[in-house]
Amino acid sequence: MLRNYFKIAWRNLLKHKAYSLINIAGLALGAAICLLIVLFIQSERSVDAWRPDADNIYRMVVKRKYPTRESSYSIIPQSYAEVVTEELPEVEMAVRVFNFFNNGTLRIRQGDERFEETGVLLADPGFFDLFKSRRLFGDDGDPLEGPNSIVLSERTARKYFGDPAKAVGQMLIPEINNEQPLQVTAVYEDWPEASHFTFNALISTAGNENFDQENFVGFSAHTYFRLHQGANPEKVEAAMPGIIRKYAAGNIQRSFFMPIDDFMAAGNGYTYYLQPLKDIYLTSHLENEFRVNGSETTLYIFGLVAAFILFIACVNFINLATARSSERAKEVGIRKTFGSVRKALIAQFIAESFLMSLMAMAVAIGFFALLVPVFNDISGKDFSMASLLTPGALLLLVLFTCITGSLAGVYPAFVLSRFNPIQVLRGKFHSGSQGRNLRSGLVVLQFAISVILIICTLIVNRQMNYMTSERLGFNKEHTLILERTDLLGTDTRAFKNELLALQGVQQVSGATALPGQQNYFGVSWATLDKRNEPITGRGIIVDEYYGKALDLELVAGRFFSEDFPTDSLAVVINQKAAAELGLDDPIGQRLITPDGFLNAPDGSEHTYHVIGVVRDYHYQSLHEPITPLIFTSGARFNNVMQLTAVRVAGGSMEQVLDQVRGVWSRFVPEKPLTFQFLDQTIANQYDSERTARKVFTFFSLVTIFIACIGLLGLAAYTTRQRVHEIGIRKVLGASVGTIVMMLSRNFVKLVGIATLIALPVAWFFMDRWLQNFTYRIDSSWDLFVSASGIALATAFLTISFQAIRAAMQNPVKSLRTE
Amino acid sequence: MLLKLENIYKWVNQGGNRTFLLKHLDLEIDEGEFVSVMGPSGSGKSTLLNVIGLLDGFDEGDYYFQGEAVHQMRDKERARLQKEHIGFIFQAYHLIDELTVYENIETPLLYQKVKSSERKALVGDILDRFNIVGKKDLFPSQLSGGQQQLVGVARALISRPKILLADEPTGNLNSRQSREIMELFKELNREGMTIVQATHSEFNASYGTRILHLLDGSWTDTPEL
Repeated sequence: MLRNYFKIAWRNLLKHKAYSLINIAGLALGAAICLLIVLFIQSERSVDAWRPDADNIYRMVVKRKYPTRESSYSIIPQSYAEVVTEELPEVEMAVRVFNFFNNGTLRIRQGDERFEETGVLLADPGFFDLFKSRRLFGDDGDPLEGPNSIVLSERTARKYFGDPAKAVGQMLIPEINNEQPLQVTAVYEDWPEASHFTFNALISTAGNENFDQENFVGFSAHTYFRLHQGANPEKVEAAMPGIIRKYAAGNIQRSFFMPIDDFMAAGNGYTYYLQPLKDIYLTSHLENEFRVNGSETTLYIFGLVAAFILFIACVNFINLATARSSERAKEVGIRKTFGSVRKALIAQFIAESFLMSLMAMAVAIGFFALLVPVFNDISGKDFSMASLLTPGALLLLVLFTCITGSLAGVYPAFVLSRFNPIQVLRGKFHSGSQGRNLRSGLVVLQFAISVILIICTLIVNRQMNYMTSERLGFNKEHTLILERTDLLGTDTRAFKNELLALQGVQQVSGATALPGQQNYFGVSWATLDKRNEPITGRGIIVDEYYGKALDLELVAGRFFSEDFPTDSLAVVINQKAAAELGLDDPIGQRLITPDGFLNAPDGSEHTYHVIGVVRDYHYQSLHEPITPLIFTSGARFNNVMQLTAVRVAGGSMEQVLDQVRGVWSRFVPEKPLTFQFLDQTIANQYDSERTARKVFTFFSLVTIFIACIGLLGLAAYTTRQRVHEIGIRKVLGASVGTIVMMLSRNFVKLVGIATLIALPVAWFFMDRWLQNFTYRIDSSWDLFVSASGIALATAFLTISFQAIRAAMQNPVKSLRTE
Repeated sequence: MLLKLENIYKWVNQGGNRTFLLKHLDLEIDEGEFVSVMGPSGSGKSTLLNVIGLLDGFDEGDYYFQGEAVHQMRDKERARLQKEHIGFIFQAYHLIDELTVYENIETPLLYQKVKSSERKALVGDILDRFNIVGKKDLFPSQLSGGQQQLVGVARALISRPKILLADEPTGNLNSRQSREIMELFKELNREGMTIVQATHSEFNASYGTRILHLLDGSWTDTPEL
């Protein structure tokens, strides 16, 4: 019996090749994309979860409340690790990880060779007890126990010593302040990428008194705790306010010139809480994360889209199957007359749909292979055909086949099996009305989803364009950022002069930070008369040319100048800072700061005076509101700065770059020049939006493609049903145009309804998405109009292809076939 | 007696009017009879055959098949009765286009859950008997109308029904093909098969052992009753 079913299904499939192709291709494409998405979700969810003890490991993070705002940091003051472990019985151990060097970048010497090493972190002894990892070489015991020890990953050890086995016991010299040699104590297997942080080398904090200094206010350490099995993390969180009071009070008094109670009363506060290790990657997006973490929202969107796409593919299947019911009706009638019961017919049609989905899965694997590179590019993952061979993926394939097979087969099975044999065999049966409402409804739903995705794509695109082209308040064009210019030391001035002498170079300015970067430091400032009400903001150290290099607009006063030696104790502030400090006439006002390095080395307080106010500009991404920014002069450090901005005349970037390289290699022969372009740095802030743009574009293309495939099939069938009518109308004198209109009208109407449904839904979601941006476009009506236009045009093209063919046919032919 | 219809009524309501398809109809058919039902289009011939064949219900009256009260049966029993005892032949043959001759004939057996080896034997016999063994792997579209109807007859006979119901079995055939099918019916009847056929053709009707005339759902000119 089953063989008979499959046989007839197979022959049906071959007999209606176009129909089968549409069905299988649509389903396969949907399945391939779902498969990719499910693999993606799986891989994102498994980050860090594979780690032994993952359930008991937590990272402590802090929500810092300032009088006017709040910020959450993934790093906390370094002294908490010790005192929390001492105070709370729930805590088994703590380990701190420091990401101190310029985002893990450190130069290391080995013998005569120099390496620019990335991924260098500092960690407490016990790191490998908390984060279990496989040691390849090295003695038993804690490899970070001794001072000046360094642990390498296998990859790094190979890079330095050729054979990782030879690494242990060797010396490496880091090019930091005292160049204390480090001894390699162990080589571990490469840290997996599926983690919220990674490293190539780990330097021990042991014996370095900087890490033992008491500090309960400055955020610096990623602090991980392992709790005892079964301990309640909430108890730890609940105990934190008491611990703050006990340990941090003195520190607060010294740093903020006030008792802890006044400090809190002024609107400050610290809330320490624990993040389960497994959740960090997907849910934590705090300041100072090791790297940009994944996004749970993205996963939800992906999941939703996967379901949509699969749904649309199934809808196609259902639509085409019911549309074809007139052809199957006869068979149903005959089978019923010869004793088939309804159950058997249902079984037959479901078997048929299973066969179809089985084939679709085979094709889906082909599509998968084609789509993997595209998807990897979008998602930043590294999937391959091998990803399909894991038990999970195989199970998924089987599940997909079953789900799509039954989902797509059940409805047609029940409809087709219900036919009355007498009517059918008498030829009185007209399938046109069968399930017409349902088909229309499903078409509407499909296109509503497509339109929603198109609108999302358009809005994401427009917001991206806005962000990259919005008047940011400074000039980002034609600007080079040279890195590590602090290496120039006393040659800084000479270097800058040489650059300025180059043809095409317009401005050269040293600074600690440029727009689009994270290296602004946090500072507090207060006016003399309100020294107990400091404001917090961002700080930056610059030379005299920074304002000109970036085209910053001064609204009052002037920028730093060599003509005023007193400028070393001057500040330039932005409008926001002036407003928060409550200064109506800021020029000449006196400011103080508790931050040590801005005061005298002996600890006595400097008084700064305001010399200029710049118009607010977006020195951070448009996600962030503009916060107070205070410039101080780098003159007292002889303007030795990490970064140097070089403003170049338009069109001459390439040749200037060559010349800059030449100058650099004369000044710093041992290290190649590293640089960025300012406009790119700014664009990089919107990486996740760029991904979103790609994702939406990709998904909306696929969705509308699948929807169109379905529409094409449906149009083909309804057109065929009306061949006779078309013939008569043409004999009566109808033109091709009127017939095309007649055939398309109904479908276009459906797509129109779909658009009307989609608009409010899309508006609702995109309005919420746009809330992520402090500076954003309005979701304006023309976007919705163009999205509707795109959907209608695509649908019309799809249908008219069929309609025109039918309308062009010689009526004699179509009438004869009747 | 094979079957008996007593006072059968069947109607449809159209716009407040009741139109009778079958009206006060009685009929008895004995085993081994070959009944021809004649009448103009719309007289109710097909409806009557559908009622007899249990494809369609009726609104009033009693129907006994081999003494069993069909009008009191539940759907399941009726379906069993139809499956086991009734064979249909249609004007338009109604073969399944996607199945071969062999498979078309085999289909009723599948629904009766006949074992594979037995199916093979039964289908083989009938192919042999109808002399169409050479055509068993062809599809309906590859056959002439007469051959298709031959397959239709073979399919109706495969489950050894008690009665063969043929609704205008030669309506789509030319005269030579018609005669062949009628000769086949006659021979089947001689072997004991009960046959009821609906037809327009006096000539075809004359093959029957009894001829009935239907007009507007009732018998006319029926000397036997």
